[in-house]
Amino acid sequence: MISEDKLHKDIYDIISGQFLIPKENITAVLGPGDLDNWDSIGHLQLVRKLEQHFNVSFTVPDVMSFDTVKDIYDTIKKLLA
Amino acid sequence: MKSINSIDNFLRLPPFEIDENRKSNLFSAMMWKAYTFHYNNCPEFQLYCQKQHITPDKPAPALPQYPYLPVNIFKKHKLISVPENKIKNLLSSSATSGNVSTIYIDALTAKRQMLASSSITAAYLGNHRRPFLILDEDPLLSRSKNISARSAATRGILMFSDSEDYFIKNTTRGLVLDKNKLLRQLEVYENSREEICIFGFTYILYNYAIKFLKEKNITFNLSDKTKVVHIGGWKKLEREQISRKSFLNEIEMTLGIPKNNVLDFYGFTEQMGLVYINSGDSPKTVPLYAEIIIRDFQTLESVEEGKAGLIQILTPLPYSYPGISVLTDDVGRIIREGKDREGRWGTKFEIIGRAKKSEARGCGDIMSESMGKES
Repeated sequence: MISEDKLHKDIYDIISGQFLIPKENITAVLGPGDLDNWDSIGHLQLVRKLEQHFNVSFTVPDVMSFDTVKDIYDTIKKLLA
Repeated sequence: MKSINSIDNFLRLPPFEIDENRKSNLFSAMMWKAYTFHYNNCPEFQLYCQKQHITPDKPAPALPQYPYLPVNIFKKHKLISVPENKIKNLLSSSATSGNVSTIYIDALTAKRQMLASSSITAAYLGNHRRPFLILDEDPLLSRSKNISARSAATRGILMFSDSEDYFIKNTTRGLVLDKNKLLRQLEVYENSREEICIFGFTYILYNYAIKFLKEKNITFNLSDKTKVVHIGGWKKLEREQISRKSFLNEIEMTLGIPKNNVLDFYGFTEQMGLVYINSGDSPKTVPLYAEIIIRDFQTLESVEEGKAGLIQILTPLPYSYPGISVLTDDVGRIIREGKDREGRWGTKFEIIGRAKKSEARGCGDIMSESMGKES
């Protein structure tokens, strides 16, 4: 079982790597559209990286519900529980 | 149903579960909100609407009375309803005539497009993601701010995919099919019985894959849950005298899947995000987020059910540009209202084709009469 701290750190690492932004600039309310490269393609690439890293599968409603970093965190936490 | 006060909440409602009576008031309220917003924020749209005496200080009109923008207007005018620095992407229509429509997309419109298209598509494909075999180029190869309609459509459907194989390469000789790769992957999925989706533009899917399989007399027996999704219309295939019936028959014959698993998507760049889907030979169903009106070729008056004319679509979806009521140059007819055989509510219609220049009196005339001057 992954700890909440580790889950948080890993998600921020993946977002930072995907969108090439410093981790300090990532907040819980950051979401698609806030960054130039967090467009539909960036969103899909992020989804794939998260699935691979955490070994989870998102449904279409999961992917659509990712309005913020917090949404991503909550969904993965639920899937790993 | 709880009270819906915003267009964004409206777009989160299920697309086919609300009957016509319940939809009517809700849709009218959302259209009037959208109309008022664009009237107040897009000067060219305001001018156009004032000339038609539909202004936000009056009661909301019935749907057929909303001013409509002829689809060609987006080729000649830059129409934006938000500050220009909010625009994230320029969406360009595919150009058969040389002129392209350019649509200005901000983050909210992009989000609404994604929400609407995924909800509508999920009603036909389900909520789970699956492998996609794509008869096109990989759209992830391009990250330009200018997105073609074809690329945008492919990006939209990828939400339903958990892995992709692409079989078309754009070379100096034109589009080329990787035949060996296609045969190999079809064999893999025939053996695994996995539920997959085969996706492509109608013309490319047929001419590069189905025709090839048919000519080589190669057949597969894919899982009966396999779906074929095609988009882009029939114009090119009709020129080659391929009927919809023979298209469906040949897919059934070569891939071994039922005709009802073949989904025909219709949509247009000027209202990207809205898709009108039919399975097999059934009519298309209009989702909650839009409504269709058919207009007479000459008088442009709305016509009754069953009569063919130009297709007009109303939707409150666009935010960054005023494309909420668009008269297309596609010809269609309303079949009926009510539920389809799978229980989806919404107006049923069919696309007949593209208006001939002689038929479509309206578009050029409306534009010159109503916009005053060209930008």
